[in-house]
Amino acid sequence: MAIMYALKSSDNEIFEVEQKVIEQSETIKKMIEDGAATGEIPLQVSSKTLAKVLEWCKQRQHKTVENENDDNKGKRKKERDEDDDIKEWENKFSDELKADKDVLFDLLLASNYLDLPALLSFLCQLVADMVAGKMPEEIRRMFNIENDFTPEEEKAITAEHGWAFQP
Amino acid sequence: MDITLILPEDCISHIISLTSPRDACRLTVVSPVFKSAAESDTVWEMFLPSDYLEILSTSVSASSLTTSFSKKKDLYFHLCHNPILVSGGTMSFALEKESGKKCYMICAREFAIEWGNTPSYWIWPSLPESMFAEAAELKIVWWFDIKARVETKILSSKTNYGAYLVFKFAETRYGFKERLVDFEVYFEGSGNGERRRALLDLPPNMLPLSQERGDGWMEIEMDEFFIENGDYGKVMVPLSRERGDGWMEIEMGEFFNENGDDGKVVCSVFDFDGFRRKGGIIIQGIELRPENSPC
Repeated sequence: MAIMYALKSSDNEIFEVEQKVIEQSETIKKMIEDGAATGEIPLQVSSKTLAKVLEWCKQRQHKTVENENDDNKGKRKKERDEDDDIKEWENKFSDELKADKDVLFDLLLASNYLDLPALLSFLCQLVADMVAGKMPEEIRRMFNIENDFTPEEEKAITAEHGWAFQP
Repeated sequence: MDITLILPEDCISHIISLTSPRDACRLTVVSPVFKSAAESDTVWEMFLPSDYLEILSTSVSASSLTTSFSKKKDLYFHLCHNPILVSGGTMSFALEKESGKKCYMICAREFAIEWGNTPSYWIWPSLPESMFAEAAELKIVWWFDIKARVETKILSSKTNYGAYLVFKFAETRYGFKERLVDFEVYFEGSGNGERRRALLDLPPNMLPLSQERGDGWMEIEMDEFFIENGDYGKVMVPLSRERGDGWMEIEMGEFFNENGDDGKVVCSVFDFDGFRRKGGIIIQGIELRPENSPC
């Protein structure tokens, strides 16, 4: 029987999760090892974001368990199919996040706070792909960024990096 | 929600380091937080080649470079615009601005040149416009045969490289207008690669050949030449161009450097027809730089 832990979101929702799944978070793993994780584990993460975090962790966990159970026979083809499945799953996951940027940023913060390196680098790559090739004005609009530069400052900085603005 | 108010700056730097030098420069304009993140060493350390310190350590200017550029971003752009001599002055090293990939020019002294050590055929003048201590100047030769060998492990991986002959002509030159030279670029031991022919010295009265398109229009290739040449008939040759540093260059060929484990790449220039002489070319080196990088 798998050991279960109860995670409590910042808005007091309880999530029951297997230890193996949640141990991907270095922060929680450390809490468990230190014996600090008794009863409910309170987290500074909203229930909406925590649900996403767990969705990611379960998918990763699923992947590792399946690989352990594989025998070598027919593994190549199976791995290929699995890779396709994972790609598909990740694409869907990314599309949802691109559509709801608030969740995306919350998730970035949460992966930082929970110390989930795989999720953190996945999300950073996602945002990097979103900003690549865009002009400053588009990026400000995309992320609701206030432009704190004076027009003179902006002009000077743009001039300094002239080549980057040429096609 | 404003991303810069919720994400820590090092997280923004991490994101920017996954883009490109061009994107990072554009991002400096977005807002002060982005500027600070985009100019951080975290970002530019990622854009510099992973072994840049090792490369710089073989340069005579290593210590002055690391002290005068305390910020990695400044070092990056310095290396894009100012090639430095490395490996005991046998190569120059620079970065390709768009990708941060490595560019090298191999000094002519490092080549295998037939008759290169016979002063009646080749001499080795020191020229102010050359980066290297010596350039190779051809006095006269019948057998024109030059090979440069470069370790692929020093190059950036997963990169398509072009090899360029960097040269100019002495006051009197002969043998390069009438005869095409053969270029070949290949991995040593893998058999020979694609052969290209080029006319190094385009006669001034020779015009590029336009072609009928068959649709009522004519067309003309803008960076390659169709020429009618007595010995060869109608051939297409690459054009040399002025580099803007007192030298000309011409593309010899290209190759894909997968992981740098292909041993040495050989860049060869050859011509021999038995009785015609050549003379009056000065060679600075052969440059290897990433191809197909938008500029």
